[in-house]
Amino acid sequence: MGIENATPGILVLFFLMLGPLFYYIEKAKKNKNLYVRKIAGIDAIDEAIGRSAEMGRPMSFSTGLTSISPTLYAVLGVLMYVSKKAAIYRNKLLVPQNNPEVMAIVENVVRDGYRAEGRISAYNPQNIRYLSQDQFAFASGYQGMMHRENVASAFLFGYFAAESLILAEAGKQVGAMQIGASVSPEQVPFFICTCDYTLISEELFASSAYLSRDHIQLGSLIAQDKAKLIIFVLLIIGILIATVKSFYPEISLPNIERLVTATYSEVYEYLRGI
Amino acid sequence: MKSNFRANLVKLLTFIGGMYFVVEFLVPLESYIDNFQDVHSKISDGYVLIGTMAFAIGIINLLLVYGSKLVFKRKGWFDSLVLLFGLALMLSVSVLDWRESLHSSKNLYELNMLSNFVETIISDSKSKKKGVPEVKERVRALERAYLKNVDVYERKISLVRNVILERKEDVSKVSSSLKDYRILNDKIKNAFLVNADLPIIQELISEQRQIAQHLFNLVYETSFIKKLYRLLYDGLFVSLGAAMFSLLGIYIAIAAYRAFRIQSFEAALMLGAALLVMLGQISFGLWISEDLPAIRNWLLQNPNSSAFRAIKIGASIAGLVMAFRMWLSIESDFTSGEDF
Repeated sequence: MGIENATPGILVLFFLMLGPLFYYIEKAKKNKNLYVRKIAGIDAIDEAIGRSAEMGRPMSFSTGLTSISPTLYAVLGVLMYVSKKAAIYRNKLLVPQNNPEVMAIVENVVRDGYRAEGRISAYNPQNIRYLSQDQFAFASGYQGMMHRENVASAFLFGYFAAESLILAEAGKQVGAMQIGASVSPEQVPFFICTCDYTLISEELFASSAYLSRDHIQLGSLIAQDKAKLIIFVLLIIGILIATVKSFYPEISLPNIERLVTATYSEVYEYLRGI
Repeated sequence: MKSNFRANLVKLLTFIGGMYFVVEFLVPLESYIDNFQDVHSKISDGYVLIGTMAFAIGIINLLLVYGSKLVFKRKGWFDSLVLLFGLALMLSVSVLDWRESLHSSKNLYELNMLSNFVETIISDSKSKKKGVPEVKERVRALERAYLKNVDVYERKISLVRNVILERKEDVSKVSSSLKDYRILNDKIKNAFLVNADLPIIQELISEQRQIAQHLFNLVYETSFIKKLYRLLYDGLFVSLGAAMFSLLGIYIAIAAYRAFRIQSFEAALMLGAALLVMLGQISFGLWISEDLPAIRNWLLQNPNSSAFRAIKIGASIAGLVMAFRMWLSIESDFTSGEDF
C-alpha cells in the first residue's frame, strides 16, 4: 500500500535531474557557443572518414549488440554525422546489424543523412546488412565483411560484450583506422588495445552533441554534467557521514541510502522530532 | 501537415508509454488494480510481439542482399547460396520441430485438464467457495471424466511403445514407465472407490501425468525432425559459436602483447599493474612473494573498482538524461520524424 518507489528522496532526485535538462536546453538555444572540452576520439571521426575517401575503400559503422535504448539514441547522432559525410564524399558506408528492430531505425537514419545532403540516389539500402542476432554469428559475419570489403575505417559505437575484441581485431587485420566507443567498462580495455581512438562510456553520449552542436544535445550534455554534480555531492556527503561515524560511533547520523529510501511517514516523524 | 500529425502522434504515444512505466515503477499498481500483473504481462508481451515482427525485416534484408547476389551471379554468389540454403533449412526444421513438440504437448491435454480440475476442487473447498456444486458431486464428475479418458490414454500409451520399436530405439526405457503408468491407473481407480481422498488423488494423477509426459517426450525426442534439429543446432550452430568464442583466447594474447609494449609512462604503469595482478592470481606468485595475492586484491578492489564505478555512474547518468529526452520527445532532427 502507498507509493512504492516514489519516496521523497527519489522524487527530489527525479526533479533535480529533470529540471536542469529543460533549463540548459533553453540556455543552449540562446547561446550556441557552449564550451565542450576537446575529445580526441571524436575529432578523429573526420580523419577516419577522410582516410576512407582518399583510399577509395569503404567504411563500416557497427552498433554492436545495442538494442533500442538511450545508448542507441546517442549512437544515432554519430551515425547521422558519418552518413552525411559519406554522402558528401561518396564513401561506401557499411552498417552491419545484429538486431532487426535497431536495423529499421538505423536504415532511416542513414537514408535521412544521405537525403539531408541531397544525395539520396547514392544511398544503397543493401549496405545496411542484417548479419545475425546471435552474438558470435554476428561477430563471424562482421569479420567476413571486413575482410571481403577491405574496410578502411571502422566505427564501433554502442554496447558490446565478449565479441568486442573479435570485431576490433578484424579491423586491425585489414589495417582499418578504428574508433571504438563502448558503454560497458569491461570492453573498454579491449578497444584501447585494438582501436586507434577510444571513447570511454559517457564520451559516447557527448559525441553527438560535440559533432552537431545542436542546442538540444548540448543542453542535455550540460544537464548531464549537473546531474553528475548532484551524485558527486551525495557521494561526498556519504563519505563524510561514514567518516564521522567511524570516528564517533555514538553520533546518530542517517546513511545516505536512508535519505533516498526513507518513506513519507519516516520523513514526517524525523521532521517532527527536529 | 500530415508529417506533423504523424510526428505528434508518435510523441504522444511515446509519452503515454513512458508515463506508464514511470508510474508502474513508482506506484504499486497491484494494490489498486485487480489482476494488474496480468495486464502488465500483456503489455510486456506487446513488446515481444513488436520485436518478433521486426524479425521479418531482418529476413527480408538477408533475402535482398544475398538473394540479389545469387540472382545476378555477382562475386560471392556461391556463399550467398549456402547462406540462403542454411536459412531456409534451419527455418523449415525449426517450424517442423515446433509442430512436433506441439503435437507432443497436445497429447497431455486431457490429463492436464484432470489435474487442474482436482486442484480447483481442493482450492474451492479450502476457501469454501459459494455457487459451486458440492465436493462429493464434483469428485463423482472427476471420476467419470477420469474413467472416460482411461481407454483413450491406454491407446495413446500403447502407441508410444510401437513407435519406439519402429524407430529401433531402446524399448527398456519405455517398458518400466508403461508398467508404472498402468499401476497408477489401478491405484487411482481404487482411490475413487475407497474414500476419494482428494490430496491422494491429486498426487496420483500428477504422478501419472509426469509419466505420460515422459513417454510422449520420448517419442518427440526420438523423432527424425528433433534429431535433425539437434544435429543442425547443437551439432553445427553451437559448435561454430564456440569456435568463434575460442578465437577470443588468441585475440586476447595479441591484444595483451600490443598493450604491454612500453611506449609511454601509462603503458609501463599498466604493464606493472597487470603483472602484479597476474602473479597474484597464480599459485606460482606465492613463491616470489607472499604479499602478491594481497596486492592483487588491493589493485582489483580499489583503483580498478573505483574506475569501473566512475565509468558506470557516468554512463548511467548520461543514459538517464537521454531517456528523459526520449520520453519527452525532446529530440533532434534524426528522431523527430519530420522531413528536413
